[in-house]
Amino acid sequence: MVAADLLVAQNIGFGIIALLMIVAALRVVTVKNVVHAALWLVIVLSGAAAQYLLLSAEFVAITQVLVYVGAVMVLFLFGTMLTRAKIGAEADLNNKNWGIAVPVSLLMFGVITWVLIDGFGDERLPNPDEQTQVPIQVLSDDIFGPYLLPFWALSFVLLVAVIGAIVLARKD
Amino acid sequence: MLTVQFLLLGAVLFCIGVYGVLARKNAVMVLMSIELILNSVNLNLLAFSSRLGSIDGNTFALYVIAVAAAEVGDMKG
Repeated sequence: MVAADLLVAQNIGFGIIALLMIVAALRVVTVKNVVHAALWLVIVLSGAAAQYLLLSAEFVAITQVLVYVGAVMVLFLFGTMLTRAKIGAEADLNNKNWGIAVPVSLLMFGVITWVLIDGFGDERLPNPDEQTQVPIQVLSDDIFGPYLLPFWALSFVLLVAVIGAIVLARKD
Repeated sequence: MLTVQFLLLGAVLFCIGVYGVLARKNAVMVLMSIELILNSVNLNLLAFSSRLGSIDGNTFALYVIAVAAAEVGDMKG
């Protein structure tokens, strides 16, 4: 799983962060307390930002920290603490038929793993010091050039979300 | 580093997220599982972006982050 010859430090960092992310993600879906699940999710999202840095995508990593860890998690915690009466552990966070979800996700993981290893077995990423660093200017040229139409659509999505949040908040 | 290690990490996170969506009853918990899924998608996009030497994956990842933020904001409204 780890490239043998090169980039020992990056590979060790990847392994540690990946292990941390997987454990935290498992805690997110198994813990019995909504606030604790949100706090475990913070670890997953921060680890994802670190992995983006390893993939030399600095701008996306910073955006991940700003938007996810900064805004979305605060929204989760505030929403949970402001609207829910109970904060502590709850017994019935799972469905009645939650047991079926285990073989479904395990089967899906098996199929995806097989396909990925079959398709991308030992393909190597370009080394960060070999590949040309892409400046942020190229990213903005990409957003406002060929991908301008999805950007407009996205601004409409955000507008609809804002209006919808106001409408839903007025009802109660 | 290999491409497949990032892709496999994305696959693990995706399957954990699918389990959470299927197993959880609470809407907030389902939403957190969807966040896990979206993050695994972003990991895939950035891994392929780095592998192909193209910046398009970064653009898509930013769009995915924006859509996820809008979704969470509406959920909480």
